[in-house]
Amino acid sequence: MLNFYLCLLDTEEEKSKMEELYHTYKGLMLKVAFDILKDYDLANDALHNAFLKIAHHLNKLDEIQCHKTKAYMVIVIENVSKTMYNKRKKQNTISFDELEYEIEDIKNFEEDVSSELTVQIVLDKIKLLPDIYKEILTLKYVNDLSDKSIAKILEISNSAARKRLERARIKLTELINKEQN
Amino acid sequence: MKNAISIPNDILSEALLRYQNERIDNKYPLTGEYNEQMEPNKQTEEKINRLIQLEKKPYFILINTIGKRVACIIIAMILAMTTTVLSVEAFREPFINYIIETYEEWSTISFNNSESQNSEGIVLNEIYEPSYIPEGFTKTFEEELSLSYFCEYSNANNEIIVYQQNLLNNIQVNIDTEATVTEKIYINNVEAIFYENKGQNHILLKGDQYVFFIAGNIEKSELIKVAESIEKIK
Repeated sequence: MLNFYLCLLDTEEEKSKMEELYHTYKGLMLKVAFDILKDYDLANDALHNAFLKIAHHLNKLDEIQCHKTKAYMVIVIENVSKTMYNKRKKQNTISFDELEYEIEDIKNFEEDVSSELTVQIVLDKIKLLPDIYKEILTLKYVNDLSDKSIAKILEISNSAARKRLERARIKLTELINKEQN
Repeated sequence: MKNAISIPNDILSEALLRYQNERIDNKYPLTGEYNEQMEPNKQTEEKINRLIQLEKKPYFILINTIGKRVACIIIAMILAMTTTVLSVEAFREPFINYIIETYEEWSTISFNNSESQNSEGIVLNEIYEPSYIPEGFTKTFEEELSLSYFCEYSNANNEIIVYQQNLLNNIQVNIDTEATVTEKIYINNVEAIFYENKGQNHILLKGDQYVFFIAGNIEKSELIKVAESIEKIK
């Protein structure tokens, strides 16, 4: 049911980007959140939190109904839901970001990958990456978000976001180089 | 030296998008159709609709980095120096560290705290709030975000007062200035902007570290009293 606030919106043209996003993706996002959290009320909280994050990056979204925006909305709600799930389980395990700093630096790769690199080759290697690497690379290269915005969405520090992004790129390059060689 | 990725960005972007499409479409092949299966509860719907309303309101404050807006700022500086739009003149006078971009129906003010250009990692760690609110109004909504604090007060007649505290660093404020007369006022001896628009009175006040925004369909004198009562609560 639309509440008092939506009554203030007069015409279809006046609908805001946020409103269009909400009405297009609310069911999908709630379903994604529910699939992770298995709880309707928590899924609702996740939906609200996701829109709080999205509100700050609306300028990065051009078309409402396109694969790029759908991927963005799903990634944001997935991340919010997973964070809530982990907090709820009160996992005392070390976070991945902390872990990242404990891992020895991955060897740097100076050589270029082949100029015959195709989307399919890269796609195949992306599939081998950990989910958090796929997620951060998508936010960076598909949704064109700044490191700072990514950090806010993923609820990690700016330096952790940069570090994770760097590792994701190195890991992907490593996988491609292995195949090329 | 760390290497820069040698995979061309366009190939990487395309591959990532294909991956996400495959993954998401495999699990969630539909989009809007899920609205029929999953309906948010009333509380969530109301909260998100408040966000929607905020986005549409003239006082919706956008956080943006100055870096991304360099081009706009250059244009804005030219506009600020040459514009003859008197209705927004008051906006240019009181503050030294802002740049205003004036359009036919609205203006954008970019605040820039020169003492702390690097806003990275800075979050709101102090909350200020008015200690005076006119009789009959109670706080009906409150939201604390990393860079801003927002609350809303309403009374039995559905009259609303909104209050927002934003970090000064690199913020941008969009203000509806169509058919608006602005006025320079003083809040506790600090220059501020007052303007009335569409039945709502507004005050914009810049502090050392924060920009405060108060608006409501209450008397100007009452709104000033609200602004004067802003104090640190935590």
